Amino acid sequence: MGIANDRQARVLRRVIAAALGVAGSTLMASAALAQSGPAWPTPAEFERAKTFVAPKVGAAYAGKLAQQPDLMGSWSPLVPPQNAGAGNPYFDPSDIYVPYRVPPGEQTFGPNAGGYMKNVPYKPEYQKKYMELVKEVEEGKSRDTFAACIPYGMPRFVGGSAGGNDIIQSPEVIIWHNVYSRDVRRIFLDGRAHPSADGPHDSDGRTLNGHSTGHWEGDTLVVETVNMLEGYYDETPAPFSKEVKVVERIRLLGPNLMEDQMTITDPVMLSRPWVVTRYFRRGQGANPPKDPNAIVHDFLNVNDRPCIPNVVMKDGFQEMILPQELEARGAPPSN
Amino acid sequence: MKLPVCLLSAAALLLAAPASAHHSAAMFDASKLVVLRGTVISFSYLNPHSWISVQGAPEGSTEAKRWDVEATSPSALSRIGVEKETLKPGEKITIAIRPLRDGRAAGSMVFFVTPDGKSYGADPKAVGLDLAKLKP
Repeated sequence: MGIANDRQARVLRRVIAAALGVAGSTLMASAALAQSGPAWPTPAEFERAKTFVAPKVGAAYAGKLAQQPDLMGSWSPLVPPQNAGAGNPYFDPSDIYVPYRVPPGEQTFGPNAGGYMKNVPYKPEYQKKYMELVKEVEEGKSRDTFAACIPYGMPRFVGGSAGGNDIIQSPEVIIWHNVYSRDVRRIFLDGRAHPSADGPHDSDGRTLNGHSTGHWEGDTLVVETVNMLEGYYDETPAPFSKEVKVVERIRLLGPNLMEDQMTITDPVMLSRPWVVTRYFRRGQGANPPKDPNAIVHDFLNVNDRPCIPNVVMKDGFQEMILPQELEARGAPPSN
Repeated sequence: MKLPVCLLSAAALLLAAPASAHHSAAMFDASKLVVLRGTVISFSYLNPHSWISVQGAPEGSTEAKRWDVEATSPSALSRIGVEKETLKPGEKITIAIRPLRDGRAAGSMVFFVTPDGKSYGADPKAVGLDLAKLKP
């Protein structure tokens, strides 16, 4: 609404209020006076609430969820044992080049610098590009914007995350929360089509997570994701174009073991479809699980600091700001 | 209790696997190891990464200053036995780091040794050091 329209609306409200002789908020809200969005609760609703009995999830979803395999819970991505000391995560950890390994217990921050995936079916020009990017990291320069608060986006959301995931199911949508990325993807199971990547509607356009639709084929959840922004699969950093498309086949291999097999196509950069399989283990016990191998810490635990306290992007590359430098600028010690 | 070496190795592999990756490893120089001796200024046990700040000097130097040492998330630290109470301001510490490439007084944690002689993180032997000589 433009300025003129805003002004007209204010005048109109004044005239109506004067004519009615009231300025009560209830009447204002209910008189279609340009209030947008769902309606504020009415006095009648508050009255009915005194005797209202909430319908139960089980009743509402009976028969709808009952036939879906149970994916709910907190899931940690798994790293193959042969990758110990290589740093983590590699989007496809099955075949990697590791320039050096660190001993168990040494703290690592992403793939060891200069490490890369050996089996990305890039076209020759993009394989060359990937190796140039790897070389940059080896020289100490990282373009990864995740450290500066930009969420992973798909498909890194699934394959390039160091931390855990919470999955919540309903009949028509699956909510997949990536705890480390502080981000949510929605997988629509209601049969809707993908919106346009370039169309005129609000829901159109490309986003970090793109648009995911899914359906069940027996006990396998098949998910197709399109409309992503260009980005990197992981921190090595392997690039993908905005034409990337991911088809996931997600299934339980055991009571608490999940497989997500991704078939990735990218007509710009890849010479053929790339199949990447990741495994996740579900935390046991309470929710959140008490199992120390599952993610139990609230990731927004940053006290007085912004979401990512110590990394900014400078000229396209990460720059570390040390705690002592933050404190010199007036941030309180975080102890 | 003495465990067979193969068991210890298996346990070590399990511990090593999940690592945190909030920012890149690129900024640290993995080919260098600096051993600092000093006093804990603060221990920020928080997500996504923790920080151990130490007033101290590298071995062989007497130039004491503040060093900020980065470690991973509380859940990852918890898996190697490091809890919020493990380090207290004012306590002596020996800490080994991979220094920042740009020369500022900071690095990533390899291991640290507390006044009781206990080490946390990598086994000092794995990087050619003798734990007995590292007690702060």
